[in-house]
Formats: sequence, C-alpha cells, structure tokens
Amino acid sequence: MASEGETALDNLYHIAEKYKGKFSLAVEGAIPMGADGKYCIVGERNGHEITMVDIMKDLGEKAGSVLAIGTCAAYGGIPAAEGGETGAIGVMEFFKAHGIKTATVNIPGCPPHPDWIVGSIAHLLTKGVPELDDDGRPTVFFGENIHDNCPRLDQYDAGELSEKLSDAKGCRMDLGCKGPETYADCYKRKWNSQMNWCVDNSVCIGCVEPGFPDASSPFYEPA
Amino acid sequence: MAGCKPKAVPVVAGKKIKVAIDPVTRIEGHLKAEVEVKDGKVVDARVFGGMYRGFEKILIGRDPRDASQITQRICGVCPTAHATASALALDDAFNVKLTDNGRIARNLILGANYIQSHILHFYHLAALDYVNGPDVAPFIPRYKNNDVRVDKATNDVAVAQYLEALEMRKICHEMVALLGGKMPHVQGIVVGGTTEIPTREALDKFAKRFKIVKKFVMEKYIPIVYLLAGPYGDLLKTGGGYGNCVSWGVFPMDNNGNMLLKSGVYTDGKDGPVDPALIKEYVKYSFFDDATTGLNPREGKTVPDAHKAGAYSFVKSPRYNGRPHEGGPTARMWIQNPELSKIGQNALGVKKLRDIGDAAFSILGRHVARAEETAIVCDAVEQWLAEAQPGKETFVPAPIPESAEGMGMTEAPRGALLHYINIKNKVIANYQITSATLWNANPMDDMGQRGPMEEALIGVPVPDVENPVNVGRLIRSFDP
Ligand code: SF4
Ligand code: SF4
Repeated sequence: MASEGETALDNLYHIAEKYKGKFSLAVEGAIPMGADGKYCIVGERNGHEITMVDIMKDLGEKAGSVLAIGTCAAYGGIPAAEGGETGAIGVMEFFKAHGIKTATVNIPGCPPHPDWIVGSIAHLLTKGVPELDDDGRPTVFFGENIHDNCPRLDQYDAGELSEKLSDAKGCRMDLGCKGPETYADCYKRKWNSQMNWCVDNSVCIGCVEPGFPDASSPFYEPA
Repeated sequence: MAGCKPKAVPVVAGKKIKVAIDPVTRIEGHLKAEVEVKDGKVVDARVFGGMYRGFEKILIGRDPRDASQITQRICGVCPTAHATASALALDDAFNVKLTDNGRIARNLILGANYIQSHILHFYHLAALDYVNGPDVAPFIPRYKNNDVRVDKATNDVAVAQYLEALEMRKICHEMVALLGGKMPHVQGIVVGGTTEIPTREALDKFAKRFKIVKKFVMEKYIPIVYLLAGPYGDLLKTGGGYGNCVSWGVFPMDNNGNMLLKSGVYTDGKDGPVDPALIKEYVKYSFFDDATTGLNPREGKTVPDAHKAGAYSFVKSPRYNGRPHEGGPTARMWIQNPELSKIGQNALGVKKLRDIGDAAFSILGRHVARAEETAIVCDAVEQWLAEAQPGKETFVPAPIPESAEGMGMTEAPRGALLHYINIKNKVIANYQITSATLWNANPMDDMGQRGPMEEALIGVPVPDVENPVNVGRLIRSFDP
C-alpha cells in the first residue's frame, strides 16, 4: 500500500461504504479486548484512535464475508494462550459477542499456507463460501488428518520411531509430533513450492488447531 | 471522505505545525509518528508503538524448548532471527556446544532469510517512497505531491524489479525451507543445532536457488540503491540522529566466537566492546509499570499499564550505558567497516564504509548499508555452502536443566536482538526479549532522551506539511 496515515484508513472505510455487503474483509491477528482495546491501535481518523475492536465492529458489520487469516485471527492463537493478558480472541468469537452475523471463513495456520488463503479467496469469488468444518475451516484444505495420511504412517505401524530430532527416518511420535490431533493437508501440499514440510524436518506442532499453542504443547513431548 | 479533502494549513514563518501519521504503513508492525514542523523542518518528534501482545508473559511456565517456536511468532519477516536468539539462549542454558555442521546450517537458514528480508524492505516497503507504482490499488491512493524525482525510464526499471523481487523472496523462502522445514516459522532451528541433516541433494537445490538470488542482488538491487543517490542525494545528508550504534554480532564463523559481522558499540564517536550488563530498559513514557524501569534484561519485568498517564508507546526504551543507540545494517556496517562493493566504491568515491562519514547515518545511508550488507551475506552463504557437509550431524541432544539461565545475543536483519531465559523446575521462570525495533522505535527515556528514530527525525525537511514524505522515508530507513 503506497498511502499512509489517515489517507490509508479513510480509503479503507470509503471502500467498505461503497461496496457494503459485497466486499470480503481479510483480518490478520487476534482482537485484544482488554484495556478498552488499547493493546492494538490500528490508526486514527479525525483525531481519534481507532482500535482493532473499533474497526472490527465498523467493518465486520459492513462486510459481505470475512476471512480470518491465521490462527490468531481464527481462534486467538498465541496472544490468547495461557499467560496472555490482552483478552485476545478470534473473529468468530468477537462476532458472536457483538451480534454480528457476517459469514466468516477461518484459514488457520501459523502461518497459514498461501494456497489455503488464495484458494479460499478464489472459492469466495467464484462459488461463494466454501464448505466449512465445525471449526469454521474449509474442509477442502482442513478436512484430512495429518497422521492418517502421513507418508511415515507405515513406519509408525511398524514401530520404527525416530529417537532424536535429526533422525532422517522414522515416525516422529516419540519426539512430540501432533499429527494425530491435527487436520490439514500439509502432508501432501508441503511448504514453499514443495521444498519440505514440518514432519520431514522435525515434528508437526498442530499450528492449525483451535487450541494452538496450549493444546499441542509441550511441542517436543508426546501428547 | 473527510481525509481526502486537502487540509489547507497555512505555512507561517516561525509557527509550529503538528503533523501526525497514523498508521505508518509499509513497516512490520503498528506505528504512529507525530512531528512538529517549524520553518519547513521537523523540530520535535514522537514515535508511538500501538501494539502489545504479551509474549514474555505467555512464555512463563512453558517447556523451555518451546521458546524457539513461540518467539518466532513475534515476527513473520524475521522469525529465523528470533529462533536463532532463542536457540542461543537455550544452548547457553542447556550448556550444549554445536557441531560445525549445526552452526553452518543455522547460518544458511538465517542468511537466506537476511537476503529475503533486505530485498523485501527495499522493494516492497521502502521503494514506493522513491518511485511510483502503476495507477492502481495498492499503489494508489498516495500523497498528491510525493516528491518522486526519478525519470520515467528509471521508474519503469524499478517497477519491473519490484515484481521480480517478489519472485526472489519466494526463492529465498525455498532456501530456508530446504534446511528449516518451512518458512515463515521454521521447525529446523532448535536448542542443540538444527533438526535436519543436509543431504547433497538439499544443498544442491539450495545452491541452485542461491545463484539466481545473488545475481539479482548484485546486478539489480545494489545498483538501483546507488542510482537513487543521484536524484535523492540530499537524503544522504539528513536523518542522522545520535550516530550511536550497537551490534551484538551475527553469523558465527567458528566455535570460538568469531563472527562474520562482529559485535561492538559505538558511542559519541568512540568504539568499544559489548557488555550486556550495561543494557537497561526504561519505561517512563511506555505503557508499563514505572516500578519496572531501568532494569537489565536479566532482571527484566513486563507489567503492562495501558492507561498510564504521560505514556505514549508500548515500546520500552532500551539504553546502552544510559545512552540511546540505533541498530540495524548501518550499525553493523559501521562497526564492521567493510570495504564497499565495487559499485559502491564508484558511486561514493570512497573505499570503506566509514569513509562516507556521517552519511552512513542518514535516510539513504541506511539503504546503502543494507544493500552492502546483502552482498557480504551473499559471499558468506557461498562459503557456508562449500563448508556444509552432507550427512554430518547438525544436532546435539541435551536434557532440560533443572534450573539455569541463558543469554542469546544475535542480530535480526533490522537490528540487535537479545533473548534471556531463566529456567526453574525445568520450566521457564522468566523470559525477556529486547528486539531490534525496540532499539530504534522507542519513546523518550527517564533521562529525557528521545529514542533514536525520534532524534533522527529532528531536522528532516518537511517543506509541505500536507505531504510529509520525508517523515515516512526516515522511519522506513530503519526498517521497523
Ligand atoms: S510422523 Fe507424526 S503424523 Fe507422521 S505417522 Fe508419525 S506421528 Fe503420525
Ligand atoms: S505440519 Fe502441522 S505444524 Fe506444520 S504447518 Fe501443517 S499443521 Fe502446522
């Protein structure tokens, strides 16, 4: 974005008004509800601070659909983990609390795979809201269990377990792999133009799950 | 649309005018700048950090090994630097020594990310301050009078490179993923080294990609930075600030503490070694409890107070020996004082970085330092690729200590980075992070000294308060 300051924010609000009910709002980051929203200031208009809480109320209502991109926007993520003190929550929870009914697509992941983002946008544009699972995620990307489809499942079945993180071979179960609790297509999509993926390099830490990071940590201990 | 109406602010000689930019866009986080302009120049400045997530608190009580995963999520641009700092703190606390291959694999991961981050910063964050994108979103709206001074041919070249740079960043991410699992947020950097022993095939894939990126850096990125020194030559003379800087050193070249880019402190014209005990964080103007001011990270506390009267930023103010210091490529290059690239030597008519004097600490000087550093890191990546041993161990397992502390000091692409961990009963009892942007974008301290970015804004020309282009240029030169 070339612009900055009020010009940038005004443009955002202007587009939201002009395409009311038709535009998709892409949200990154959790919404910190604590301290009157002061933990996240997005900018200012007419001399007033706009918090993330403010802008989510203003634009969330006007949007035709919302993409909650990343585990923080979808479920609160790390800022919402134990020890956090900002009252961070995800978009769906925020909408529920404020009676906002805008259709929301969660694209979790820390980070989310670019294909999941672009694919969801393409689906929204061409066919509308994709089929979602109980956690609001498109089933086309998040419908399959990593462990059940893992290329190392044979090694798991044969009891060939890696003993240390740098072992090239073996199932990562004993090293803390959270593949069995995790639903995403990383096992076949892989990362960065199919260069690699978490399980071949180390372990899956369950970064797409609503409970991340608390539910999947300690990351290097079996569940 | 209120904000698009031109606000007619009459410029009167000797009169102060307040100008606020909120949000400052094309940076890594949330920032607001407020400057006072008098007779066409900034006379006072405040930089506001408007976000608090509480990572340090969230880490307490967790398995220490998880820190290198959790802390990466502080920043999607330089997660590898946080992983490195965290792993160094853990190596220290767990008392483990890396294998050569582990050290080299970490360097290759961080090095590929450095190159990516510098390309990202120049093309996708800063360049639109100097050239115009096409007249479509997201390149519009922009300032009406944005002081773009390049001719059409140069502008076209820059826009073509802007697009090509996206491809280069993708390739750099592939390099990181080959050894680190994925990018952003690598799985590969852990206490004890890295998790994946490089194969010949992975190293070959890495090298093949690296060659393409290096060609872009040498033939496009570095030349265009120096090309800007023509039409924007005055920006080599503005935006200096204190001229103090710190570097913790980065990219270990052996296991005896020799670094590719050495550590050092430069204060009031004098060089000195780094003593971590002299780092203190002040919070008088930050939204944190006053009782926690002036603490070394080893004793550091994080107690937010979002409504504190008089405070204006969620950024703490780190000081070295009581003085503000900037971090980043300029700091590292100043402390290292390397020979410039051939292109740089020709463009500036000098041999070594310090020969350009105060110009190193300027809006354009920071871009020059960043570009020069990219060339140095490229040369080093070549060396590490030659040194990396396929099939040789990169990981040394070590048990979690019952109680221990550890300090991890490294350099993120954007500046000095410190992680401190204190372990009790095998879990994290305290974790403190003094990140790069903390050094640059901090508010005034308890002693009344402005933060380095605030100080650097003083004197920056703003001839047209409706189009405060140089304020954004200055802030972005730090890559906050
Ligand atoms: S590596 Fe992980 S996902 Fe794969 S089979 Fe083992 S436990 Fe399951
Ligand atoms: S493999 Fe697991 S940790 Fe890695 S990206 Fe997929 S869900 Fe996240």
